[in-house]
Amino acid sequence: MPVDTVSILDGNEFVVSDARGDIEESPTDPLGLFRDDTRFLSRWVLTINGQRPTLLSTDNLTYYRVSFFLAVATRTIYLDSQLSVQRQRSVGDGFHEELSLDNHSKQPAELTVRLEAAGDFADLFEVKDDNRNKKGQLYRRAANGVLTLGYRRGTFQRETTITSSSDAEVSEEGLLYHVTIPPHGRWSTRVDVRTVSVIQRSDGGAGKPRDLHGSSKPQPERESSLREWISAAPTLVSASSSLVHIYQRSLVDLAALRFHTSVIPGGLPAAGLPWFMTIFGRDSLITSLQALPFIPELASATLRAMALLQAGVFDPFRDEEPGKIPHELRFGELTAFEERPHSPYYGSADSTMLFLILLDEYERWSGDRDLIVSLEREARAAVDWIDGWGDRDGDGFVEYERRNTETGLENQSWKDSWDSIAFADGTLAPTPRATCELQGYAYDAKIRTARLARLVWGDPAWADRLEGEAEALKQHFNEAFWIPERGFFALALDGHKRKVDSLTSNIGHLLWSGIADPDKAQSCVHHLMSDALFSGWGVRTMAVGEGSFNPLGYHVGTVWPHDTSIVAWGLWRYGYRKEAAQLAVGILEAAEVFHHRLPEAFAGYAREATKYPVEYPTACSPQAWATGAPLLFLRILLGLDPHGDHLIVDPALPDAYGELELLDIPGRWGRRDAFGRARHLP
Amino acid sequence: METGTQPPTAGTQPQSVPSLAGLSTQLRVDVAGHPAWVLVIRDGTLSGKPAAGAEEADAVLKCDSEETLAAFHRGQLNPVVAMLQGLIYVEGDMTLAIRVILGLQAVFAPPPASARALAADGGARKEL
Repeated sequence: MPVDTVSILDGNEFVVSDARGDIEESPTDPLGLFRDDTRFLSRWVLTINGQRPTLLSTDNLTYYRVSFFLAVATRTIYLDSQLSVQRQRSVGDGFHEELSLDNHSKQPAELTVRLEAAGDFADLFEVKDDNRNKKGQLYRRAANGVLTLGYRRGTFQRETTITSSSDAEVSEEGLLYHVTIPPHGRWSTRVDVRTVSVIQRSDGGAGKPRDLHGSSKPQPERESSLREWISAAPTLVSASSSLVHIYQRSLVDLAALRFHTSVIPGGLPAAGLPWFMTIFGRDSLITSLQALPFIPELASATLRAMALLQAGVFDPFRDEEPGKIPHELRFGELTAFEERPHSPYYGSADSTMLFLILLDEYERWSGDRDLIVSLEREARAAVDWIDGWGDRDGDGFVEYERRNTETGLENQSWKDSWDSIAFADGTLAPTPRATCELQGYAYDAKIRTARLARLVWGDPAWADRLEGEAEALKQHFNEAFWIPERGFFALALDGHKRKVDSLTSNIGHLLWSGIADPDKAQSCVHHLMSDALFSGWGVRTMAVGEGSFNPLGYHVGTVWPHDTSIVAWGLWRYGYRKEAAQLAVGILEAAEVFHHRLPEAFAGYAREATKYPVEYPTACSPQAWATGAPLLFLRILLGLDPHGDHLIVDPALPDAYGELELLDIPGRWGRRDAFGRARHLP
Repeated sequence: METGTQPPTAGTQPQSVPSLAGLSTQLRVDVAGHPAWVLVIRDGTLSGKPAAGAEEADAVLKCDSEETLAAFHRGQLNPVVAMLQGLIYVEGDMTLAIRVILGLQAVFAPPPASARALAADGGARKEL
């Protein structure tokens, strides 16, 4: 049965424990200390005189630090507890735990304190699939006050070392303390659990610890870094304390999700805890788009990382094609031995277009020409991919079909679960699949790249050509994808060029991209705001009544906050401000119920049926693009958009928010304030 | 120390590598703990020469063995896989080194022009 878990994280490194602070390997919960997609510690259990302390409370001080307040009790904790226990834990370069015991009695306390430890070094994919078949050797070593837990498979070696600041009996099973605490006295110790990726030295010498992507900052430095991060972002002033809380939560979570590499300066957003704490092309790009008016540094780091990892070769195992922007990069054992293709994996058909879209949007906001100039080659390679590799059959549309049929993704659009692309009768669409939003993204990418070609790269001929191609695509798309009898765009064209006729949220992405003809857009808006798609909280991924609809289906009925934020951006673009505000209010009210942190997805039940948003069982939280959604909603509500060197503010606020102020919005204009107040929206 | 494995452009004219366009740098390759080759890149044009000792370089690519270098040279070893397994690692400017390593992949395993060119060529060469 799932347990209540507590997570602390710092980019790619995170600890998930139960509410007492213990870690016990479980088929239902991904408990452990994880780094580089590897579980370095799978057991960490505290006992005192053979007894597990009872939980009093847990205090998540900040994203990387937590305190567990416990007591050793016999019958009920209030009557018989004479011993308090506090575990203060912080993550970063492993984790560090201050264990304190307070004796409240008038007698000395003779105690045996034990910390059991074990590491299974499971790859995160093995944890996720609950399928462990280790091909290497686990080992343990206790010597010189250090407990080492390790795993070796050929030259692949990972270790966990555990040391204590006070005398402990160190065995292969953990640490043991024999403690005497005087009346009303205290005993404490610090335990350091460190993770080591051991690289064999090339001259055959002893193993040497290596850090694959830079070490964590020391705690004081991280505290000041977090303060700077928050103070650099605009200040939100609102009578809605809930909205302010949601905003602040988003800023802190984005700080927590920063993925630092020794390759790229700055941090780019990892996708989500616990399964996706790594670089994801699509997720990092969309999150950076959402956060641009608030934290533009995410966009520059993401663009640089994506450019560096842009494919240069053809490799079917990795679904890699020249010019393609990566889908996902992993560091675990299964990737190292090519049992999984994530080194990196390129199985997303939209990342390449999203890269171009972010490139332009970043320039519009920041005016950072140097970065744009430095990425011209990558931009050209990305456009070449759209026209060449992306359009496999030359019909003018981008389509996908995996080349890696064993471990590649069947669906390479954002709805990447196996059953997401289905006809209205529930039949799965044959591949190759040309989903509608891919065409919208391709259109937008070409329009935006043309702007940069003319403005920054000094190539007006290329700009003209790109605009011509975009216009032709738009016309072709509005003919080929429109379903006149239902009044919306097909979800996709299947492998036989048939229209996949399910009604889905994807049509909202077409508004965002601008590819929809205005008359067709109006009909799509009607569908998006209908009871079939709009749950009252957000837009369902698939409409009620479609053959595959399931309010708990990952991409066939749940509500994804980031998806709704993009739909709202599309509504805003086509002038449907009232409808955009309605979606913003729905999702932000859901966030309030979710303790101000939006999950990756939640159930697609109608709001009037449940009164509160129902959790989706395995949703990641925090999830980067869910965290970015409130930021994009604020942009939409205040109508923020760059125009040359000026920031346009054109608010359309619903009554729920009264007045809103967003102060010190960064951009090419320096810093500007935005103010909006509610008024009747036509 | 020289090794039996040839650098990418040993014995050939300097080669233009489009993915390294605009880049000028020097990368040393050590094999089994010994300096072996120096790759010189001048505005995207690559040439290689044997290392005369521990020459100055912006980054040093350390390979555990000649076999690793040869596998990479044949286009059969993914550089990220090699790093995760501990077969290679980088000292110095990591960004630069990764850009060069990934750029060299296309030299060792030139891709077809497009999906349609691939199909016209009789299908994928390395389809699973």
